[in-house]
Amino acid sequence: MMATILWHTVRQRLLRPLPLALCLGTVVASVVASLWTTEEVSGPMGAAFLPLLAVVLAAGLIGRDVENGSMHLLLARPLTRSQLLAGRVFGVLVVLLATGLAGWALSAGGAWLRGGDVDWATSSATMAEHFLRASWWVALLVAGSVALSGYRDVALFFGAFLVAELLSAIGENTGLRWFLRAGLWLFRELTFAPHLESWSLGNSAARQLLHYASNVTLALAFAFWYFNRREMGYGRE
Amino acid sequence: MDGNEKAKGQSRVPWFLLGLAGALLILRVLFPAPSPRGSLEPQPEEKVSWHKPEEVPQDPDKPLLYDFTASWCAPCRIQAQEVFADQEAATFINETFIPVKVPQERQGEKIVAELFERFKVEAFPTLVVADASGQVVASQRGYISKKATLRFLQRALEKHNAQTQDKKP
Repeated sequence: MMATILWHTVRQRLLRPLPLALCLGTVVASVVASLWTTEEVSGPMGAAFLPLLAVVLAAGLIGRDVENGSMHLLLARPLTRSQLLAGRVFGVLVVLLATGLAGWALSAGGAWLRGGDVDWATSSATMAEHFLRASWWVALLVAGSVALSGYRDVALFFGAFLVAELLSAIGENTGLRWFLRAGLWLFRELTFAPHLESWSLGNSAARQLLHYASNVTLALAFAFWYFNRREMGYGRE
Repeated sequence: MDGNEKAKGQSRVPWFLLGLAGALLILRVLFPAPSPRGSLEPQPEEKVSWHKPEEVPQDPDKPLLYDFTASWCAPCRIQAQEVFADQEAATFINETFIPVKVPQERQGEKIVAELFERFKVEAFPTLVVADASGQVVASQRGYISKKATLRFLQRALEKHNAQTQDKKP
């Protein structure tokens, strides 16, 4: 049943003009960027759009269903709220991963066929880095979406960036180091992704992966906990 | 009512996920990640002995390595932090090339504008390896890791040496 929700999410989130255009654009940008790079293909540059694609795909993931009333129909299906939310989250991640992999395979494969020197390890690690950042943003948006209706999760998400910038600017201009530190900390957490240089996973990369995993599970734990306890007029014991 | 019916919209506390989040949070505090790359904090000093464009000798005995960069360019900062502040990479570059830093902020000056024009620089960072006559041996647009940069430089050096051998009578 969860698989049904997953594929429903893939169709529902992807088959809209903006996500579809961005998805295809990400793949095309990877290919074009690989043609443009002269000596090395170190990373699919189009994959840098994956986090942006994540925002478009995950915007209002739950909030829209609550707002337009379709959540009641979904909750009437024989599955738990956690299964429903997991299906939604994995649906978005499947689209992101497929886009990232397609862009990487086409750009690196194309360069290799042209006789270029492809650094497979570095290029795949770069793609994975962008995918991890994108999945972190999906987790953040889902955490916002279970608590807010419509597309307010996107407003909260970009609002957090604005707060980070404001705090940094206030700290920078007034000499209040705590504001500056708080702003920089928030900005770093929002944009955090482990640095996986060529998959040579040393101590530093392992700690960054731990930091990333902690961030994502915290956001998802909040999302699953709140979604399960939220009163939606149906399906809650 | 079968099992499926019981599952309808059922809400449960996700104990497993909450426990995992708590455990990872504790581990994260015990084993903190190092500062992320490209941060706005003071960066480690670059160990490459960069020349200014006007300091390039007329008849250099080594190939020239131009680094086209810009102060606003985040990938340039990351590359500087990872590659040019690294002792191993810096030693290789200093011994093998004449490194020249070309900042976009000086593009208004004739000598810098000529370099941008000659090497058709349209993106940052761009690395260009050129021979003594100013001909491009190899170029690289966009950020690449330390390992990839060293590989790029090594291949450019081999190409330069092969070209020099061919030119000798």
